[in-house]
Amino acid sequence: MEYAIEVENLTKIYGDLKAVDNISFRVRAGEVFAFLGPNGAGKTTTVEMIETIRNPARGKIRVLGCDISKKTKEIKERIGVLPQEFISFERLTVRETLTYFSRLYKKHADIDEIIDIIDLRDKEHEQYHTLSGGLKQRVGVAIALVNDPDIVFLDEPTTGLDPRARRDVWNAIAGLKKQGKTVFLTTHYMEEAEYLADDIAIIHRGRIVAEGTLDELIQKYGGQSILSIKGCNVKEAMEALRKTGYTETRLTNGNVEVKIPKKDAVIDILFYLREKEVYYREVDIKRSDLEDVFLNLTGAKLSEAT
Amino acid sequence: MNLRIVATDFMASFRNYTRSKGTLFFSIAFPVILILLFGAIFSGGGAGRYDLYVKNYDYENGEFIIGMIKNGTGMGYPSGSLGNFTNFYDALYDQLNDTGVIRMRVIKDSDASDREELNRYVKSEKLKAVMVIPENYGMKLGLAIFNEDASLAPNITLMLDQSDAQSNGVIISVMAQLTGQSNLMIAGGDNFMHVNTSSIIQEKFEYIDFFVPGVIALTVMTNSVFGVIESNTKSRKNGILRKLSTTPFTRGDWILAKMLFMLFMAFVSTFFILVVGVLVWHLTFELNVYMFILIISASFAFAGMGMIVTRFVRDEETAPAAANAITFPMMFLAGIFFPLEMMPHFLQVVAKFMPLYYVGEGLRDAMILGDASGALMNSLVIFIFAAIVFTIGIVTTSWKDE
Repeated sequence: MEYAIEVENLTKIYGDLKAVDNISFRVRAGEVFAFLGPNGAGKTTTVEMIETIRNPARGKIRVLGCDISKKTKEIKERIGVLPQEFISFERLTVRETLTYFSRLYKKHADIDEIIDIIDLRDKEHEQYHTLSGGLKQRVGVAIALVNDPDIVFLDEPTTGLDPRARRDVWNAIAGLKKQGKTVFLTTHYMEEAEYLADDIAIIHRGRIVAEGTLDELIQKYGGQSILSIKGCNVKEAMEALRKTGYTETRLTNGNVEVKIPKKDAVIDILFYLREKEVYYREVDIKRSDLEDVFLNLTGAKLSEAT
Repeated sequence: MNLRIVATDFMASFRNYTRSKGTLFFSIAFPVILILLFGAIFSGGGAGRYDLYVKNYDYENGEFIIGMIKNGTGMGYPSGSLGNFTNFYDALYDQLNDTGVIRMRVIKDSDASDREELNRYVKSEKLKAVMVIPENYGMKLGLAIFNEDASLAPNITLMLDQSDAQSNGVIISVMAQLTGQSNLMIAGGDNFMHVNTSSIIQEKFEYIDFFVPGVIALTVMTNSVFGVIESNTKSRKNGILRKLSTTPFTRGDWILAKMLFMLFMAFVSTFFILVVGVLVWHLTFELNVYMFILIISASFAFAGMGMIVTRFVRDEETAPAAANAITFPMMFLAGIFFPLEMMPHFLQVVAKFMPLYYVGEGLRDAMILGDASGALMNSLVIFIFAAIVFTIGIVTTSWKDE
């Protein structure tokens, strides 16, 4: 089976609002697929329709090759879910919590193994409410694994965590891929998608505006990379660049920045600068990132868009 | 239905519950404290009686009167009730004390030698009920009887604090019976009659007998309503319902597991309430099938009400307030703390619309009064109510947010 999830023309409407507007995408088996978009873009609505807990207005969803409207029961046995802002039973220990959820399924993974994979061994007898935010989220990921699922859905798994706790959760998620699980991740953190995802779909106002690998997205929508010439004589440098034909320049913090439309342009520029004996201290190439991709696609910043 | 899953959830609820000291306290210690507290207020030595102060300006003549009665020359008063008393008025006070409702307290002459002083004394001491027997009361009464002219008979005055309707009612009723009885005898009635106040306070049953079944009903109600609200709103807020809906756990099994746990809790609290009732207040009760029917039906009925509340008020903070709005009036108006008869008529009518009333009454019939037909009727009412409300509750409880 090549695709773990296939979504076709999916639509969900709340009143006048099209929360999800005719989207289609496919998730390959064994990959980490990130659904990236700002809050309210329709990520959770989409993921919950795939998880069988919301009914679509229109469209088709196939999970693990089965139509979800027909094989709901079977699919529930084979997926593991960490819902958004999930808080587990406060006074059960980590081990008791995992045992509880494990008993809901026919198929069980080895709980000790999960505890080791997610690195919860020294917390297994602690009650859930005593854990830090990052640990709680890791327990949430662990819960999503108790039935040894084929697909793991993680809805905003690191929202509200500090950078270090976030990295711990990322490591746990990266570990899932090594186990051969398909991971469907929704997030509004571009670093998260960059760090974890094989494929990224960018969703904005209920529509998928772009889809592909990180490189593909940046190449296609990221705009040009920027060469930053630092510690130079600004006037001379600008003059030299203009003569070479690279006119898209700007001045930032005393550094000259120039857009480079193609790879060998960098060599071109550096060669010319030496020829004209323009002194500079160092150069830096800034590659565009998902933030630029999102900005170029929607005209809004990912971190600020709604 | 998947029993393994239901059992798993039951055990999780149990663990989560017993490890939360606060919850544990409110569901078990709270009713127990209620029983200890109210039991002490109403059942402890002499409590529950009303003080009746007496100022007797005719006390000195009491010895003379009793002499006449014992000689058979006195007014047809049955000498048998006078016992070994040497003063007629002591015998009268004793009879009033014997009702178990009134505690006689004599105002000394030094405190109030005349009417004016008496009025001052009553005000300064804030007395609520004072009986005034006028000078030469006995002699004048004798004269009236001798002349067969009731209009000559002097009055005993009852001074009552009008703000305390409840105790006034009791005292007036006792006095009316006493005088009624005396009148009957004076008029030559054949039958010897004692002052009998059973219409006011049941002789055989004490307050605690009334209260314990009420507290059981109350506890079942609060546990069920708030238990359901907690599991519905909190599980929803914490994403547990969303999580469970992605697992093979079905909504029906989940409701079943929660109901079983609530029933378990209802019986655990009932057990503790009864243990305290028996050990501390020497409660005697009958364990029978109606008790179980009533407790089970009540659990379902109030759980259903909780479900309906959370259907409309989904927010974790406001849902308990909505539940309070339902349970609080029932707590006070359904005859749990005080017998319905003590309340104004229109409130008695209101109480009959409250499910808690039937639970309390039914439990009293079943456990204490041994009234099988009453227990059956109340069980039936609450069973039918439970069936309707719980069904509505299930229909309105949704795991999905849409």
